[in-house]
Amino acid sequence: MTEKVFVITPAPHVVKPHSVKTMMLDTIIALVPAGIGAVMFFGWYSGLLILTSVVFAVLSELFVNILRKQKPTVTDLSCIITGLLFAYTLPPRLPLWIAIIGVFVGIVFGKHIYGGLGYNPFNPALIGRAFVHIAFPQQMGNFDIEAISSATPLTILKHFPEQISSIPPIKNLIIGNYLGSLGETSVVLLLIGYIYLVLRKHIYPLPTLIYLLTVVIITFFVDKTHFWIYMLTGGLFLGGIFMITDPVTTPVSPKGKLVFAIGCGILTLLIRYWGSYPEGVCFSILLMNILTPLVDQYTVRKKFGYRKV
Amino acid sequence: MKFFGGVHPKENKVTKHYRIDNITYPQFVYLHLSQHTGKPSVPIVKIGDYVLRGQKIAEADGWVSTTLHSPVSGRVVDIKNVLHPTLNKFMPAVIIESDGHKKSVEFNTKYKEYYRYSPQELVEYIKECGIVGLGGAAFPTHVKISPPKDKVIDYVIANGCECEPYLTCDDRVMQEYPYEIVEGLKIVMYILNALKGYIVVEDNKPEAYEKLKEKVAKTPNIEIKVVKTKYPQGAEKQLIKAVLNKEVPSGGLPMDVGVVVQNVATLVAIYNAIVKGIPLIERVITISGDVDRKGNFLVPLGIQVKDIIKILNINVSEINKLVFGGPMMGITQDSLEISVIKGTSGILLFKNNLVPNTYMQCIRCSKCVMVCPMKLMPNFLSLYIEHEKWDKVQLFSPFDCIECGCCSYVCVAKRPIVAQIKYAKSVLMSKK
Repeated sequence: MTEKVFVITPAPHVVKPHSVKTMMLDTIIALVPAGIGAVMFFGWYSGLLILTSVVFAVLSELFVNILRKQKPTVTDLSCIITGLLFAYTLPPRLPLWIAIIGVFVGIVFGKHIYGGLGYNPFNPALIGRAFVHIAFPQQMGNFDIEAISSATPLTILKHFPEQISSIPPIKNLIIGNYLGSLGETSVVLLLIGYIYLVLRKHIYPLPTLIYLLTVVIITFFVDKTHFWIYMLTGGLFLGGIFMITDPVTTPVSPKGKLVFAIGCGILTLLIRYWGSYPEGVCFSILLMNILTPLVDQYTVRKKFGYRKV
Repeated sequence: MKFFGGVHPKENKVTKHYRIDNITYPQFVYLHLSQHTGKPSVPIVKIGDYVLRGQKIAEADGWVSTTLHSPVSGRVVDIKNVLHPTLNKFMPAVIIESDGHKKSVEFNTKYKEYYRYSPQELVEYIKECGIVGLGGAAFPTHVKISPPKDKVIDYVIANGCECEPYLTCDDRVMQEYPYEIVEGLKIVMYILNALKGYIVVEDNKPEAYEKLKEKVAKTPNIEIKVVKTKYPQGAEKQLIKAVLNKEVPSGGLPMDVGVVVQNVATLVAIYNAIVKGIPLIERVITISGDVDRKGNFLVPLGIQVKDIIKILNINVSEINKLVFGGPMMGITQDSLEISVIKGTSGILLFKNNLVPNTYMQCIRCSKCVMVCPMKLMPNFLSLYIEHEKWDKVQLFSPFDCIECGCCSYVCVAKRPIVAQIKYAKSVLMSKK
């Protein structure tokens, strides 16, 4: 018995029973209500669109795994989140082939070209979205459902102010039953996801709130009459809940996260009011992603017992 | 008040209600000469010498060092290098074969009325009794209670926050020796001329709190404080922050903010030394994990795990991991031929290795940042250490790390962050 040899491992000898996979799974669960909402509001085609982009996100991931001769990284589930988030930013009747191109660009050029999960400076879903936005402006700007020509509330405010009366009442804007990108319309359903993520301790509640607060304050001063439309439509909640809290592409320190949130809020409104696009959430987050390493560098927090030398 | 960060691992304090048990003495004890932080002791016995229980067998080598005493009566059979449980190398040890009679020296009770003697004499006698911090680090107690002249100590904190999962030895000591703890605290307060003493207990130890409360009822300058159960509540700097809202400066010691912290078991040892004259020859350890025979035991120093499992009849056929200390900071041992030293607080036996042996790239989830009680940036440390960018590593203060392991505990990518930081410390030390 004395010859018995035991395993040697470094401390700690207990670990929290979670992993990257469970964390991603929780994020997927948080995204589900908004997906169900999309199918309810925009019909089965939108469900097909979501499914297509998830399937092709997985296929793109596998494709890169083969190219890079690495172990399949699909099991970390992050590509499914990319697929979902990407689909949620699309107009409801977008041709499937555009979604496929977009999600491929997102996974390959938004993530794996930098080394894969953890190394990507930009949110892969937003890279895909920005690509199709620029490459296919016609289709991406087309929110027609069942041949009724229409526009999103933000487009109306920016380009067709004479049609303001056609914007649905606030109640509809909160529930999400109005024209917009697939997953971004329902504030209520997105908030369910937010609460779930906060309860599961995967995101810190403050950055999202600070982001929304920044938008509230600036909008209040710039355009008080259409305040609620600016607040409740567009990608504000989708971006604020799922994109500015993305672990990989945002700063790590608590202070850095707040700086990031405020920056995103300001850029969103700069684009909305003075840019040529009606919506600025996507580009504002991508622009702040560029600054993440810089923010990280300047927001290293003071350690316990810090003293000035 | 509370400290920043920390985690809540599953407590598993199953041995909480097991009374401290005595254990039959083994035939051989292996007494390491390095059972404390500092220089190893120098043996003053030769092979073949007959020693009594409580007889000094090794002398301190300088100030930051301490003495060593035999827990058994018997003959010194060898002085040779044996595997050390915390230093992971072969270190000299005195091996004594017990004659089974526990014949002891006459203990010196001269200092029973300690207030008649000067603090210097008491400190000297504490050194003579070989007392070290029993919480784990085993820092010589006489050094800790001898602050430089310019440091005024206002508070003495008795640390009853046993925050490591599984371990219950301090909890049991508090429940069974509350009088000794309070008296030990008074001795330390007398030595340091401190104004106030605190006994701090976590809120998961209500029994200990009740017992101690009875004993301090008539002592106005000692107060019991209950703090939240959170790991690492028992870490010195975090404890001071939680009790007194004072931050020990980086690189400094508790005495820099006028505080001295003593583990409750150390206070009992101080009481035994000063009042009863008994040097540190035994300690209470918790034996727990995936075994049937668990409990808290008063064991002689130098007893080998091999003998403990034989005496207690523990079945280790399915055990794959042996840990000295708690599961968060303890050190794994590869064989049963390893002996208990002064700083050993527990022996944990596990069937399964719960620590994954692979890890992923960092996904910057910042969970480690939010739990680090020293407010460091473990994610950056881990990344730069992985790539051996030592100049960058130094920017993130690796030497402030208290190695509590919270970062590794919460890491979703299962990165061995704290092990990396320990490695970085040794590399950076060797570069200096």
